Amino acid sequence: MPRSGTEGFEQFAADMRPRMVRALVGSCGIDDAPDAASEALLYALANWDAIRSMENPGGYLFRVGQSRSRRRREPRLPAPIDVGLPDVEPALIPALMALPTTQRTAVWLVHACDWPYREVAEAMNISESMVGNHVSRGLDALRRKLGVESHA
Amino acid sequence: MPSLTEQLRRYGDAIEQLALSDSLRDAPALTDDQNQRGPRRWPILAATTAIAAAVVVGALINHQRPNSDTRASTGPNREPTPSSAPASDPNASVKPSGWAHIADLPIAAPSGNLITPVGNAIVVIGISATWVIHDDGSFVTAEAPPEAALACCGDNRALSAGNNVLLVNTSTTGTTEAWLFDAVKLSWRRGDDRPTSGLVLGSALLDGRVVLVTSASRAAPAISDVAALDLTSGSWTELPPLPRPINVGGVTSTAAAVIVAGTYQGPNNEIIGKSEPVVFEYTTSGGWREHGTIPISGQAATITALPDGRLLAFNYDLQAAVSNTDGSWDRLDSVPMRRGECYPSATPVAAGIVGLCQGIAWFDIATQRWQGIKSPTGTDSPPGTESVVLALTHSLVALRSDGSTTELLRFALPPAR
Repeated sequence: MPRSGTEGFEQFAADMRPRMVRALVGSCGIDDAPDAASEALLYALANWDAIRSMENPGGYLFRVGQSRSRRRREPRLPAPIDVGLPDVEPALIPALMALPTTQRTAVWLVHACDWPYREVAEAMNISESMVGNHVSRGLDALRRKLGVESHA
Repeated sequence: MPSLTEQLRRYGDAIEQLALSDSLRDAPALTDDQNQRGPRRWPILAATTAIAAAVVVGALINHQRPNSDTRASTGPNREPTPSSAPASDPNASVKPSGWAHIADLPIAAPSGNLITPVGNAIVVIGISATWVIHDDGSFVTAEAPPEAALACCGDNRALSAGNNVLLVNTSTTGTTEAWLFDAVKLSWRRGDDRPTSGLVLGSALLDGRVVLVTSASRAAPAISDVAALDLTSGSWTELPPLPRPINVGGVTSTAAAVIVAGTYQGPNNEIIGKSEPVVFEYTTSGGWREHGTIPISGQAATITALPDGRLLAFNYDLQAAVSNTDGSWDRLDSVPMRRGECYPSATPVAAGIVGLCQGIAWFDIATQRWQGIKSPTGTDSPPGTESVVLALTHSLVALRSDGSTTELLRFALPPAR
């Protein structure tokens, strides 16, 4: 009776969905990231044999989610205090959202999602050195905007 | 102040926690030109939760499974009768340590599945199979949903409907397909397509039909459309719309009527109309009638019918009220649980009502008093994802997972009088 051919997908989806939503929030915002993650996981289900053998399915599915996202509005993120983070600079998120898309995505995946450069490179379909450039420029812009002197 | 990169990491962690509890869209959001806290948003009906009539409480971090009698689950070991006899406990009392381990179950990741109570059983819909789990730990493995996507990837909603689970999709790209899983026959069948593709406020059973209260589309949060699915024929009938739209609230039914309570919020989350939930009643013979308001001020009210026909409501602000036979309402003590963004639910269980939101509370119908219940992790229920609490007909149970196995726990409630 149980369906065959999807062994392991349930656990994969349970693990991957929150990670995928987190990653996609940086580019899609909280309104569209859940749907984009759903689209990515539906794709993974339909192509499970290929996805399960991938070394970095997260990066690949990130691209799937981005390409299939039907963005309806400018991406929005919650204020830090509204997600229980009173010690996070309130202006950080607006400054992040003001970055160019590639810088924002790179900074978000590397520092807000803790993805390694290699995975971010695959997710963004660019080289690791380009990821480094975008992250560096993005953090510099954030520091300038927030008046942060030292590099942390 | 932590470093910039540390702040980003913490913020990402918080986003993932919201995603885990399916409450991401409910978070107050900034626009990119705002640099201070935006307007407070109440939990609008995102309707993307994969968990119906359940609340996710208690993180498993550092959790130690209690030593207790463990009965092997080797189901199926009896007929899957969701409305089985009460699982009474002669030593039952409402106490913080009242959770008991019942069984280990072969379900790896309950947080990734659709879980809904049906009678005195739990139906878990996964991609590879459907499980019917009884409160004594016995279970039956049934066929998988006909389409794997029905159980996959969020945006599906499972609604309890008699001995059935009604499965509908609420995503922007979703279908209007309606599927029914019969928890007694252990079989899936497809009903006719839903008349609308919108948000689902809730459902209730009336005269063998599932009455679904919904919006015209996902993009239209105003909910006033009503349709009924005949559980025998699988066909839909469009019913008259609500007298006025709502978008937060609850749905229940008595023996003769469907009751809807709720309020309506505008695009900036301002309350439109009265802040107290409006009550609508639908009968087959009389259509919709408005029955005033419930004296609890705030949003996201839930409503449920008590066994004696009265109604009980509570809201996001944990204000509660119970109706009298003449239709008037009495305020109750506040519901003793931590306040937080959530969708309250209230379910008759044994001799009382189990209230679920950011915590768990028990309402004794005889004394009309609330009492708080600790989460299965023994805490005051910090948001988490690995533990799902469900109110069944006769039992309060929880599914708790460590990622590879899932255990069933049951709370010792007083038996029905």
